[in-house]
Amino acid sequence: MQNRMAKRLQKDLEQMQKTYVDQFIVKMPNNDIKHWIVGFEGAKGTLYQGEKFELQFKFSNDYVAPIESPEVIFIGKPPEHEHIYSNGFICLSILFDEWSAALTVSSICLSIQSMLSSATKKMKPPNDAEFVKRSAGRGPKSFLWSYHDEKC
Amino acid sequence: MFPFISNIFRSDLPLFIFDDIFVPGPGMRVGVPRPPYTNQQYKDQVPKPPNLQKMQSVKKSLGDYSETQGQYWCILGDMSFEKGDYTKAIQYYDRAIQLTDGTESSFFRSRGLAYKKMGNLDQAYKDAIMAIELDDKNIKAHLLCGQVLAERGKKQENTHEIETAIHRLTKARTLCAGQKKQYYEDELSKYIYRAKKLLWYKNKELEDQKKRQAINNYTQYLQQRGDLNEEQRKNELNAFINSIGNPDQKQNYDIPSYLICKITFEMMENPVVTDAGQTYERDMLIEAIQKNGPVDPCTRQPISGEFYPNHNIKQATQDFLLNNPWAFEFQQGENYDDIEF
Repeated sequence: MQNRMAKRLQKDLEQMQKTYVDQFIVKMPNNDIKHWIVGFEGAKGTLYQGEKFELQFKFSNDYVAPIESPEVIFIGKPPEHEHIYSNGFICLSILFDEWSAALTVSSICLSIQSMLSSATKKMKPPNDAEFVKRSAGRGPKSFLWSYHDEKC
Repeated sequence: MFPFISNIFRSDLPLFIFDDIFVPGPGMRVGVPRPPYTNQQYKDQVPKPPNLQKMQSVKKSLGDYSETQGQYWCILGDMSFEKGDYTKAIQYYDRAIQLTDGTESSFFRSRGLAYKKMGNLDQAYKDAIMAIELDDKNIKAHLLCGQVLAERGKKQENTHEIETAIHRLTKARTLCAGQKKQYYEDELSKYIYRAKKLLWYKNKELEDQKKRQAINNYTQYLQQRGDLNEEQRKNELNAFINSIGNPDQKQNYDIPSYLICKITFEMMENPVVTDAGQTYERDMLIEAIQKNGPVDPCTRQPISGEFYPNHNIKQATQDFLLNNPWAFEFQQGENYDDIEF
């Protein structure tokens, strides 16, 4: 089982390096295939143009062929966006309830990038401070998320 | 006849009402009991077959035999084998073979397997051949012989042994049907595909070697010719390389995307099609539905949880593998030494 997961992630990485080589930069600290850091830039012509962001992917042991969703957060300085908390947590339905086995790392990155691109103004989530305080020491997958915005 | 007459032949209507009026002719399907088509056979198929590697001869307890019987020692050997103590297992099997005067095929096969695990391929080959000579219908002996030959063939300069290995493995698979052991067939097919892949890699390597040799020779020949200048030599050499194919050129390993499961990113063994018209690997789709509910993983369309085997894709996969043996269990940048047998 462990082997199958590594194989699938390897294929994912190959695809990412083949198709999106100049868009996303993949790093693997400690050479662990279960821990990725993907760097990307805000798309041109949007509010986040030229800003650099880093996403952290953590794959649980249940990611035996992607049945279970990975844990995705922003590390470093997260972008100011209505659905992104300042501790890096992202309110995006495909990361939690609407996860599908056919999603890949590159498709997650693309959706996050397009979520940033479609923003019309930079603002923090309304309950940011309270949420950050509440979520200290917990992973994003331990929350029940509700999605207010139908567009993303 | 009336346009609605076909309704009368529906199997759920009591037919005896019309018995004296209609006499069903040949070719008319009347009241034939037909089982409703269900997916049951694909949902929970036959229980998983025992693993061929671990499967030893029929499990019986030690108490059934006395110490003067070969089976007694064979069971002891199997127990050591499972623990991973192959030296001891071989000693037990030796004893078993002695007691039966070397007439029992399965003991030889067991000892051969232990030798193979220890890396002693020549001894393993001898035992496998012995087992086949004693019992021509021993599936596992044929399998062992094929595995050992393929393993040995990796290091050889020619492809004879790998070809024989494919022959042996195919023989093992054909024997399955006759002995009602069809559940081995899938696993044996896997080994056959691996052996064919190995053969392809080996052939390619040998061909490349020959090409390099030829290019070397030609370069030397061109150097000796005095009537050419540097430019002409270069052109001649390039023309020659083009005509035989460049061995250093990167092979293009591309599997068409329609043969690849969107969940596993690999070629499909049991492709099934969902209500949404998408095709996936069966086991993975079941797992995905269990986790995420009855939704198509690609289109998010709700599906009924029933799916049907996609025979066309299966056929296409087999056809593709016939011409491209490397595609089986393919990984970028792999080496043929890593193929497991």
